[in-house]
Amino acid sequence: MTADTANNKPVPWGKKYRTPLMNASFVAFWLGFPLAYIGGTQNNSLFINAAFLLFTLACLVPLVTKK
Amino acid sequence: MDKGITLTFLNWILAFLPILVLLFTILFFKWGAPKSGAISWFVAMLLGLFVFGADGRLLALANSKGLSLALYVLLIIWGAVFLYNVVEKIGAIQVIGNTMTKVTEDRLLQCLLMAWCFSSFMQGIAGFGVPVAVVAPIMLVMGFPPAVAAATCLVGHSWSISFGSMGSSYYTIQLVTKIPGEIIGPWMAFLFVLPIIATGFSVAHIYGGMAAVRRGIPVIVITTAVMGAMMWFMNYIGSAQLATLIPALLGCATIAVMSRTALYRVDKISDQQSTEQSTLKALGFHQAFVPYYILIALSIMSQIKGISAIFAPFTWGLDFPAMKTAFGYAVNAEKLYSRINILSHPAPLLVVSAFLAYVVFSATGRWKAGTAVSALKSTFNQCIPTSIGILTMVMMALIMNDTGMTSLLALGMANATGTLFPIISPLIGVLGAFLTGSNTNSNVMFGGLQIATAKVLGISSVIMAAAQSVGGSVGCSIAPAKVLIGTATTGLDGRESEVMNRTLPYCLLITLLVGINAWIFAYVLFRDLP
Repeated sequence: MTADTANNKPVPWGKKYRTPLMNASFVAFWLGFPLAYIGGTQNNSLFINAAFLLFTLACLVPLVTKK
Repeated sequence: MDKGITLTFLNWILAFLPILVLLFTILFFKWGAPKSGAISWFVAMLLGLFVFGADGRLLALANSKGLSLALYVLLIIWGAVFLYNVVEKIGAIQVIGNTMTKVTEDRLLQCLLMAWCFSSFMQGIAGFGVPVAVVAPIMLVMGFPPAVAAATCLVGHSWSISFGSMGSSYYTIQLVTKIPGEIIGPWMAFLFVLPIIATGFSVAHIYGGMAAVRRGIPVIVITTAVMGAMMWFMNYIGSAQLATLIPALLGCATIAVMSRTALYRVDKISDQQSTEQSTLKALGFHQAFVPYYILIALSIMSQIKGISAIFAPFTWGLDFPAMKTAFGYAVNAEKLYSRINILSHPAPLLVVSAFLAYVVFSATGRWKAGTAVSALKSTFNQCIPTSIGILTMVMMALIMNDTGMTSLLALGMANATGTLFPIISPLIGVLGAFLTGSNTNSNVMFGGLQIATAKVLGISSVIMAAAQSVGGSVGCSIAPAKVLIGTATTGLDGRESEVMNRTLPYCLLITLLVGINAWIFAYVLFRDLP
């Protein structure tokens, strides 16, 4: 938790960083897209795993930051 | 079923689990669409991998298909919301709304005009809660009680959602079911006739009970005839993306004409109207409407065969190989999956309309500096959470499709309901819309299920897919995501149940009527339709 400067109330970090993290999540989905497609069509396990990692991180963001 | 995992009660429950998790988290944990979609995606991935025999490659391709489909839909959403924000920041939406309030002094006609037709027009150009967010506060200013304003807007525009937002839900049902638009569009228009008239009468009933319903019969019947015929016609000429916008506009015009007949004419002109008229001189209605005139013109131009042939090569889509799960469930190869054409896709038309609107407003000195940047920022902030919700749910739905979960669900439902399935078919669409607050998401989640069930039962896939989308549209009137917008903009925060209790009976009744209509189509009138 961090402190709100105006009211000195603690602000959960999930709420504080919600907007940039959601933006990052949105970007992560699209970064994972070509990796998943190329990995899937060429049977490249490195690309497939990298895509799953990005999708997992992207899906974790709303789980930890959204109400 | 000779392919994929065997149908047992346990397997059926496991196949239903991603949807159940989505339902449970939204209903009981009150989670939003992005969070519920994310957890459902995890569940679908794990079940696909450990229960339904998918490997990493199949799941990677299923996710890429989901992202391809999501890209198609999100481009429309972002384009529509951007154009709306540009127009709103110029002040044109206020002018359009105020012009509508001046059309008639009759309270019933005002209610029908705003909640039934004008909110549907707003759905045609923007959607995603904008109709309720814009129209309900205007109705409040006009003197309607807050709960009536919110409930009538929610129910009133629920006929217009499938073809609204430049047809994003309509395009989605095509993509998910692979039924061409020229086939499914007119059938959706047929099935929408009942919701159009029923939403009209529902708005009248919410406003003034049976007395208003009786008084509203002529205007509702005539306006329904105009809007229903126009919805079908726009599909017939291949302009389905305008099959809400144009009918809703003509609906407004029909009510305006009817207000001048002996049935509804009120001679009194209020001081408030005169004041409004003077303030509106700064920007006229037709000037305010320029971006949408441009959009309509471009959409019609895009349907001209000579022009569309020139742009036909400018098409993008990915090819996907055929796949099979460890249990033998086969996924067909796809060519140019979820193809995006630069002319037939609505997003480029929306962006060009916004640019031409900038040219026109600049030339007439009405463009405010910084409007485009401000509209872009608003669009970004509004669309990111919606987009993540759509992305996760579309990816989940495609995992369910490609691992055989959807077809297993369909088989179980077909066995359980038998010939009564068409009656509950739109209810499935309502459930999807209720869960996700979106006709588009509902179509993504259940479009494949409806088609698979129709095939098992040997009835028309086209009618079931159309019933799905119609149900998804009607279901938006009870979606908590939409109800919250209604309560927030009318000062009813915390009284969501009051509004939902008003909309729920109408939604269920209309859904039942659509289900009976779909059953008659599927089993009596059009048994031979594929």
